[in-house]
Amino acid sequence: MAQSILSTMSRALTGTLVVTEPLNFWAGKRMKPREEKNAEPVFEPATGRVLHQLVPCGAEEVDEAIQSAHSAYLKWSKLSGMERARVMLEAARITRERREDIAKLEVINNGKCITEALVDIDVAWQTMEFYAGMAGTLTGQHIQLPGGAFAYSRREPLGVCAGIGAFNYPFQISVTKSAPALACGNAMVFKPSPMTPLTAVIMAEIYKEAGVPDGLFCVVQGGAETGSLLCHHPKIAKISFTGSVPTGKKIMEMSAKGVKQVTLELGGKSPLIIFKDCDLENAVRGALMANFLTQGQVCCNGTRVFVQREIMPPFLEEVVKRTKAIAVGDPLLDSTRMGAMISKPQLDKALGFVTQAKKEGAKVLCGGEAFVPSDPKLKGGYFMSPCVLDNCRDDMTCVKEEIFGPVMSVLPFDSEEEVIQRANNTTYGLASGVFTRDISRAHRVAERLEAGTCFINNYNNNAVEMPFGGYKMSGFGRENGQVTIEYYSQLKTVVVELGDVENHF
Amino acid sequence: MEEFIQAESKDQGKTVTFARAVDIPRSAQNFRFFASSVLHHTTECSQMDHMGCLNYTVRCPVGVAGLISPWNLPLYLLTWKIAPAIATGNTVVAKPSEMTSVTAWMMCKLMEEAGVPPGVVNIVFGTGSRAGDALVAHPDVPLISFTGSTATAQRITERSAPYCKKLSLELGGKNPAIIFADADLEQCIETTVRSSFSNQGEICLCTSRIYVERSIYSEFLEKFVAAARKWKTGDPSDPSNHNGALISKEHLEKVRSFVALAKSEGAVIHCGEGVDHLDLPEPNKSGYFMPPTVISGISDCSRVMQEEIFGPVTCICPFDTEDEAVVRGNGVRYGLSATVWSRDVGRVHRLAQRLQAGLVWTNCWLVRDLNLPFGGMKHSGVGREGGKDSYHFFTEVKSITIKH
Repeated sequence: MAQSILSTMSRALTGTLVVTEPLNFWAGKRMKPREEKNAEPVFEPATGRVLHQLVPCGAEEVDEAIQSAHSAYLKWSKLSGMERARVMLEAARITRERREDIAKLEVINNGKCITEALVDIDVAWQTMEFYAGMAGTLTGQHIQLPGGAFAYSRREPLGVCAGIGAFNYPFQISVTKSAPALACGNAMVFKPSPMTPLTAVIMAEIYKEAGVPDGLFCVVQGGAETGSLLCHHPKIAKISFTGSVPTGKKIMEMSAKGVKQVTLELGGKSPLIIFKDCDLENAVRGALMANFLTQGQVCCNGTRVFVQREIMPPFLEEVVKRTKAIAVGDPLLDSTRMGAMISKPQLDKALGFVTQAKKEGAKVLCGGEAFVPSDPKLKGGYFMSPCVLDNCRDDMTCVKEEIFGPVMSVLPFDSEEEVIQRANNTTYGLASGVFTRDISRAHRVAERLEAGTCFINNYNNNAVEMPFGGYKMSGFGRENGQVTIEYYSQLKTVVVELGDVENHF
Repeated sequence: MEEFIQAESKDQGKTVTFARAVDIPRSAQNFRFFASSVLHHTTECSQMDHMGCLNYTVRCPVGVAGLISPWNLPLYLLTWKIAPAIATGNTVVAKPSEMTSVTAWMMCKLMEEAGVPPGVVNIVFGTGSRAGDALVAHPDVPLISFTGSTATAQRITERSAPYCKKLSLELGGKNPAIIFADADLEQCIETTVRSSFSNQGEICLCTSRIYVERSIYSEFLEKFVAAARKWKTGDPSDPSNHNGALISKEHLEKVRSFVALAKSEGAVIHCGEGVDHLDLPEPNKSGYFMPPTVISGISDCSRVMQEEIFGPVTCICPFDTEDEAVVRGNGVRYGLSATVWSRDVGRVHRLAQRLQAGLVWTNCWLVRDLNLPFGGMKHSGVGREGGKDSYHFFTEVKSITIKH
């Protein structure tokens, strides 16, 4: 089934795909919901065409998926770490083999350019390899106790974990969550964003082909209601969620009822601080990397760009020049660098922020408008020209709220003390960046910024080896890195007495 | 404390100030650090549920640890070995340098007072060739921790080889300082004078080769020599002195011979030996004193730039590129420590990662987190000591598999 969709991808063109296959997956195969009701259209962002009518999963479907996941978990958790690793490495290999076709399908559903999507798929199989490598190394501790007893700890899986993905990195997020979960011996039921349902089911098929027990990685499609069913289901041990802060709060509330573990990767309004002693060329490149990947729809983007006053004119000149030159267009073309935003409402929302910014006194140096590419088939697409806002102030809406679009807000600053205070003055805390040549400043600033990641002299060069996650309302828990193992397993301490019990009574 | 300070200064020649600031407090801290860190080590446990097996590791003391410590930081380096050895459950036979045995002897009385059971810490006093040799070749001493010269280490390795002993060898260094034009010059000079001349240059971590980026070379040389001249040498009990006496007549002659060699090779001696007169009080006139000596115009292949001098002598040379500085910095058979001076974040990390040294300090010197591994690369030694590393060195690990 997957072969039929993926194999058509080599000839794929923007504006041609229609998907009729069922996109749910459990018990080892694609599944249709019981009733074809409450269908919502899924759009191709580059054209505005309908790709698929998505019927959400209801209570029965969610329960069926979770039951199949549970029986898979019972088998999978009995395997040794090395045996799980072997299967995961095979899944990584298959993904790598099919990377171009998967990337194209991702582009058609998400709207990001093919160059980026290929990187996303590469990150996905690298993540699988990383956690496959850890599967065989999970150790506990041995602790000597006084008087002839000792304790040891075992790391055990949680059971069935739920993953709820976002629309900006559909395929990658399904792996970021499933790889550590599976490495630890868990099963996962994954719910993609209803706007981007196409590629997670490909991952489910690849896992099956690699040899996981049927049901180990399930996909249930749907929106808020389906998500809610997952959060309330008694057999779900843990929820890992990527999305907005308001939804994250709801997830926490719902999970509280079952005392379920939760990790949240939410939004951000991350600061990028550019000091006058930076390498200006790199700082400009960094600002672009921090704002314009995936049409600006990236949680950790450095969307508040603080530039030290002395270098503001040369910085702006260069950054505006390069922003204007960004090739916006058909995302399936190799030469495109920015595709379409995920949906009409998201596009309108981003445009609304620009309008509001202008009202509040910001100056649009370039972009910030709906963009109609010359290719006629793209005329219904949700394109926006990337925007640089000058003359911004800390109290503007565009500076305080997450826009989730290609809008860079530039703000001047004078001193280090001042800019750090302003950078931290937000309820978010996902990422941050600093450009400076000075060794003391670089590390001093990194120490003082209240964010889960601090980039020095680069931005958004994330890697699976390093932990990623937020401070404050940007979330808690971590993804990537070794530490994520702690979020997908539980610790049992076993105490062994080698002598007698104290005759206390 | 004060008795120890006075005794160490008198026995070794270092200033009372240095003994008070460094030697004796560190000796006490060594015991405190290892007493605490031994509470926090855990070993591993892995499960093989599919085979019904549980694996875990335990670490056990080895038995009698043989410890040999040098004359430059006598009590400091002796306690750095004794503390982790006994903290992990071993007993100890230690041989301090025959040149500096006083504080070791005084420590024995304190051990008794502290309640260390008799036989746990044993100190034998004598020479390397007799007492040291007997310890190293003893079949019931499975482990030797030695700090001293590379030449003696070779002897120890040969003598202990038939018994497959575990060895931790902390040897010499020929440590470079690499100074870029964007360094904070004032801070750099102040610290590099300290790193060159502290304890009369008798620390394995002392800077003995200074490479300076050409554009600031003349300015650096001038300011460094002026600062070196302010580093006073004289009666160790005088608190205004930075340096006291070198350890012995023989050692003083050896260090002087390197300066003479440099001179014979056409190098320039800017200050110190043979250039400046040391004004010593009458009682100290036959002591083993030498003023801080700065040499330039010396070739990288000179013995003066290749061999450890272990005295208050340092050489300064210019360099042009980062790559050149790395190659020349690494161009000796030693690899103990190095310092890098630059304010550029990229450069500092790059240099630190490229230098072949067990310890790299950037924009500082001798900052010690006792948790981290301490030791040298290449001919500067074998093995590491420090929180976890000493724990691993002074114990044997056993892997246990329980099939259930």
